[in-house]
Amino acid sequence: MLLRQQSREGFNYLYRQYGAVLYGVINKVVYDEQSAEDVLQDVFVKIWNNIAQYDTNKGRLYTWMLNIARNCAIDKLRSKGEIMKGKIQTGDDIVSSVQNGMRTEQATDTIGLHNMVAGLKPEYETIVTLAYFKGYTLDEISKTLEIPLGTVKTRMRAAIQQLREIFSK
Amino acid sequence: MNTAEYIRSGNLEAYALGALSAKEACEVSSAVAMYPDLAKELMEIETTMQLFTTWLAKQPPAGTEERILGGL
Repeated sequence: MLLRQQSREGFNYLYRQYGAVLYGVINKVVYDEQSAEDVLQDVFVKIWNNIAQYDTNKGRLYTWMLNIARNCAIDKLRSKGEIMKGKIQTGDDIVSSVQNGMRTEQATDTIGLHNMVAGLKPEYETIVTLAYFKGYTLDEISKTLEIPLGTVKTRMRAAIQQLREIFSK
Repeated sequence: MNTAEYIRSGNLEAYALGALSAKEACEVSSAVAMYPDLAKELMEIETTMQLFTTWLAKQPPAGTEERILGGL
């Protein structure tokens, strides 16, 4: 209710409740803290201006806000040209690392995908990171990792299932 | 539609991870609106993503709240 009235209290509530989570996601997409803070500001402005139109039947508020944060952060990443650069490097790094006989864990480490959830299989971690935090499509993931599209999707499913197990403990 | 097969395919996870094209995402949301089994599964996937993102939470730098509020 406070949110719909767009009151100051409403903002404070929203920020305290979701600020850290949204910032965490944004910062995982854009590493640079100043950019992450700028994105967080854009995200809150967007949430604030659209909260009256937010359709409770369409899904949960949290998911709605997460999607806004992720999309804004990925837009920022793309606008900086980092994603294209990153894409080529990622592909090359993984391919050359694999060719050099490195294990997947080491290969992903070289592109900064480490330090994710403990216990999450490295190949799942890679898929989640590329899709959710780097904005890769199924097709791009398939080409980058040189695995079939169907495998990308089943791996995504397995990744979410493993995350579910880890977090339900 | 065979919803069990659809669930097994990983389409819903690909959707939740934002890896689908606009057209594919639209197809998934229509399917979810039509089949309660899919809606239930997507809800669970989203719950997992919420737990995951909560785990990632990071406090923004001090003063950010005021700065944002000032810009609204």
